[in-house]
Amino acid sequence: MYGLVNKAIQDFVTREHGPEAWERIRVAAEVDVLEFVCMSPYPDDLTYRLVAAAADELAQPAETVLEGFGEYWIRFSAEEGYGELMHMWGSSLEEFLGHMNDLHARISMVFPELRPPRIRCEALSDDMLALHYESDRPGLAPFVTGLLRGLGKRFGRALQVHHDAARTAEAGHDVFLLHGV
Amino acid sequence: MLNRDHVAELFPFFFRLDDAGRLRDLGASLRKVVPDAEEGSQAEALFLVKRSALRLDPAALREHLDQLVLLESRESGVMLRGRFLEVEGRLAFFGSPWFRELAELEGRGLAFSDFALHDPMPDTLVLLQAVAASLRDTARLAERLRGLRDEAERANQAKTDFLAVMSHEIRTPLNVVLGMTELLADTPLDDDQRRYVDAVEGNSEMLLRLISNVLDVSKLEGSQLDLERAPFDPRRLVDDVVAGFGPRARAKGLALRFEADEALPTRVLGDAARTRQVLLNLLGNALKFTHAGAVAVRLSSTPVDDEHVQLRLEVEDTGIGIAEEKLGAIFDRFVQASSSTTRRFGGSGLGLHIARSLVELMGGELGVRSRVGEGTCFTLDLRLEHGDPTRDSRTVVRPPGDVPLAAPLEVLVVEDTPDNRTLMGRFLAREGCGVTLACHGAEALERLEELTPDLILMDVEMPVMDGLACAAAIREREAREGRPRVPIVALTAHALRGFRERCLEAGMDAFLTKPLQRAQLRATLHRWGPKASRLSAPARCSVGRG
Repeated sequence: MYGLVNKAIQDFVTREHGPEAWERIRVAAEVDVLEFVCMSPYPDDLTYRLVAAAADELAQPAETVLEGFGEYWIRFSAEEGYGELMHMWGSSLEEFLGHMNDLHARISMVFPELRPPRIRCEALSDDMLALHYESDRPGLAPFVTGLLRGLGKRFGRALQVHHDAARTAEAGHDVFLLHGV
Repeated sequence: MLNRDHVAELFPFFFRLDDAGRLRDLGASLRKVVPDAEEGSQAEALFLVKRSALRLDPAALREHLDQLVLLESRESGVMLRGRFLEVEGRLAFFGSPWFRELAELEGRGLAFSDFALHDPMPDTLVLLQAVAASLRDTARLAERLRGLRDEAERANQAKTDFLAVMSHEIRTPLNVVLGMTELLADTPLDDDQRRYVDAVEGNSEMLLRLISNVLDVSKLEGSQLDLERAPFDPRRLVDDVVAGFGPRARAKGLALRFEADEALPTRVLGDAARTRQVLLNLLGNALKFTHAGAVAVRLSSTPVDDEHVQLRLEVEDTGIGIAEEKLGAIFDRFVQASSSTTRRFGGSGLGLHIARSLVELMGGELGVRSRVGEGTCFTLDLRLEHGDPTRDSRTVVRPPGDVPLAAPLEVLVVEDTPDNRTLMGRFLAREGCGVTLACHGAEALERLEELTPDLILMDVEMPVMDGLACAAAIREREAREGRPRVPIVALTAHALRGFRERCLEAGMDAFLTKPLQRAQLRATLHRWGPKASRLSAPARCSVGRG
């Protein structure tokens, strides 16, 4: 993962729980990086270790940590200077989600080692859609749930996000149901 | 091949110019960057031409069709970058706006959908944004590392200071132990007592060497070590050191040879004491790690130019040798070739580190080559200036042996520690000197009212009046009253940089580091004792005996 992701985790923990908590997590995860450089790629394993150590430190399930972090990611990337980017990809949540693959395609020009997921939206009713998420990285469904919630907030929607286990099993990839789009 | 719709899709910032220089067929996104552009607007009124033709005149533009065109919107200041082509007899602009920051896009209400899919401009802005963020991250990292480095340096300095203070504190009582042991050894002792005294003496000396090493390391690390620059005879220096190891070599059944080039200079400028220290270490190691065979010391020289000479000193042994992978580390602090070496042979692992640091400070090189089981050869290369052969060597002080003093000397000892005072008194009395003792500088000045000694041995750190103030007062009084100049030798356990200079500035003549040993004391008495300068001295007063 790129440093930007790890930096977001650091920022998330530091803001919510203070720098000492972050330092304990960093040490517990055996990460000797003092400052993440956003454009440098780091091993995926490092990010997973950080999440596991954060779960231990905060006494929360890893899924909860990932979900909280996903929601924070939207705010963090906007503050890191990518807010314009999101803005430019649509003025509504629907429009934004529809452009997600294009967004990832363009960003992977800048971050060549990016392994972005493939996303497809399927309208189920006027205010409900199914978001199909395919990624070669395992275990990130809670992160996506948080991320979608964060997006809902950004676009001023009271969005309900539900990771649909039955549809996921049937489709062979993660499916999320979004109410209030 | 391309129809109008294709062009509109591929070039959303497109426009055509008619023959009167007016805009036609505006692209869908053009007005987001040129807000005042309308069908039929005069191009000259909308744009400043930054590159290519000087005017947006169709005739002029036709002459620059193969060139990059930069147009700046007069209203928004946005730059359009592209080219003109003649399509079916009309001029058409193909290009897109140029930005430097992602934020500019949002400011102008531009979305990704306003750009053609093939246009890399928005992606380039994301790249620039990411690069800028990475530079900030890197700067933050550098700042953090700088902080950590400073912290580490402060901690290291604190350790160095602590080492210096501790070694000073240890040397002072050790001085007394060594001195008293030496006195004790001169008293009638039975065989057992003699053995005990020898053990105390041997171990105290070992402790002293260790402390000197620690002090040297702390001085080298704190850049506190100053080198002497005085003439010395390199052959004589090496000869002396080698001769000193003779008994040890014989005891181990080793041959010890010294081979010197015929053409060696007799005087070079350098720090003889530190050169001797390096050689002592190399030769000591060679004898320590060799169990059979020989140790050879070779000294040679190569002229460099009229003023300089390159000295090479080799110390080669037939000892246990050092494994190749260990060779690189043997000059590091606290490192020996193996931990079993430490167990078998002892030692602090500081000697070679000090030796190399000293050699580097002298601008030289200390190298090593070795084969396990065959032996080791250390090479010391030093580039030195030629000394003045007419001047005598100052720093190589030959031990005067048992040569008695030409005349008994009167010595004033200024020293606050009672044990040290007693010790100095006894030492000097044994050399046949008359001794006057003073506890501090003020008392020394009182004594000097009625006394003109041949030599003053002055402790530096004392209560009431320290040695520096006392020396300055003595010099001032001598000048004022036209008295002869009495040599003052500073005597202190302090060996830090600047201390020597402070002593000399205060008017002292030399500087000796405690613990002062008998040979050193004798050398000092010989050097500063019966001198021609004393001819001007008035008749000596009687002095109190210590």
